[in-house]
Amino acid sequence: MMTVGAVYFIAVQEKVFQLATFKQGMSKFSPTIYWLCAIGLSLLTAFVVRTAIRRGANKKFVLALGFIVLLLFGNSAFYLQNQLAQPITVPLAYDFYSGNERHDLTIHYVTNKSDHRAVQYLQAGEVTLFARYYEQPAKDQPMFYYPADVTEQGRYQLMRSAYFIGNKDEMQKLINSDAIYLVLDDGEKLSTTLQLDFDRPADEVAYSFVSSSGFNNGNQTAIFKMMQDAVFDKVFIPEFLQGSIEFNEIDVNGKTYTTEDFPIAVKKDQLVSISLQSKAAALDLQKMVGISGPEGILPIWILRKAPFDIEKITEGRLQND
Amino acid sequence: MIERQEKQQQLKLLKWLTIALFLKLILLNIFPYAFYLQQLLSYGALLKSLSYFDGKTLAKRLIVIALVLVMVPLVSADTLISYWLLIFTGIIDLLILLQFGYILLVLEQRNNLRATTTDFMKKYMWVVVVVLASWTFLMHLIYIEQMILLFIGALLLFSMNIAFIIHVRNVAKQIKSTMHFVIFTEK
Repeated sequence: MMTVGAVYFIAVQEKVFQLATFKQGMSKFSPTIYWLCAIGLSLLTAFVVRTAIRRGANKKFVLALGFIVLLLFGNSAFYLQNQLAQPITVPLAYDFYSGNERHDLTIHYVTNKSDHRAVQYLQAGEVTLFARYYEQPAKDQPMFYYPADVTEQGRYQLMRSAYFIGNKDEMQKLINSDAIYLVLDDGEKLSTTLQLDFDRPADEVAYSFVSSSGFNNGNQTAIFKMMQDAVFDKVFIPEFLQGSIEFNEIDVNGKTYTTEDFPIAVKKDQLVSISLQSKAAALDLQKMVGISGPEGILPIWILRKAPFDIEKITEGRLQND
Repeated sequence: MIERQEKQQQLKLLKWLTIALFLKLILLNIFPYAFYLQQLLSYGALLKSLSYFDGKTLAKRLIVIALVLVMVPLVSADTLISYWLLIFTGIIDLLILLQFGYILLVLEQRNNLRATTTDFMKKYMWVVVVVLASWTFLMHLIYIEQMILLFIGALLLFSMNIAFIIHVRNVAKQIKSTMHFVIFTEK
């Protein structure tokens, strides 16, 4: 009886859950209801346990079984509380190398482990890019579902990647369109937060790249050799990255400057070392920043992967919207 | 002679119980359809075993519930439901085997054997309870942790089922030895 009730409980919750998703879009379904259900079922269990003991069942044994069932209800409520109502896409800021003819683009998205849908294609106006390496979802392994495109695994969610390839025209259309959707194999559309652009090598000063170090801890230092004389008087950071990237110091031939010492004049053949600090932002980054002046920009590429932190990712999406 | 026939029935009961336990030894969760087949076969063997018992027992009803549980994944393949099924299948199996423990006890009494089943079933029960309680936490773990927890639990269940088989064989042996005794005195 209890088992049948339990299965029914799950079925009802699933239906309610779907309705909630439909109504509220991104927001999670209220966890209170799960806990209320769990508490209700626990009371029912306590009642069944008491009846069984009164009828002469082994007391310790019945209590032990009751304990297992209580654990199951509590854990399930906790599990349901941590489910996403809908897959979310990780914000991405991406500069394509304009020198290339074909471009690729990887968009990460986070789905529940129990959600076996995958992104099938990307839709922006009339442009449709099909995801490469798309796999039909497997139905027979509910507990150990681990598709090939998973990049990171959390306790309740998987971070997966959708990989697209397109030519220059298609990417230009993506950059110009205001709404880009990822479409799952059941037709559901996921909104994305993308900041796409081409880089502009024409705007850059003449330099040769020497070395770069320290990508992961947030500190990054790049060294260049100047091929022309230039004056730098501004930092160049795209608007939405301001606040998450800071230039620490600029080192010209052993002499150290900060951004407060602008303008800085550098001569041909001098070594310029720029170090900057980027705070952990919840977005995937392949973006150009730099210092700029009348002669052009001295660019540094920032490559970062968003940390697998759902709260931060959701926040980041709201900010960038 | 009637007594001898009854003992042969009891031995058949024990034989089918051994077969059912043997089918339960390996958790074939990895191959989905093999798991259904294994479950169905072992419940079939338990029912066959029950058909040699003439006393009152709840085991038949519990087996019917267990058979319903086996069918659930054919209807829904949701992740949470599969965790619930794992736990409830474990609980139902434990209840069924406890019923068989009771049957073993009855057999021991009828044959005036030393009653060792109660002690054994207590041990068996507590190990299964601990394993099932730990498995309710599976839904919060990443895959490698899940694998380790499942493996440790399955290993414990495996060793307990082996012990159960040995226990059943022992009871069967003792019943056989009383049979020889009966034949010898009749001559």
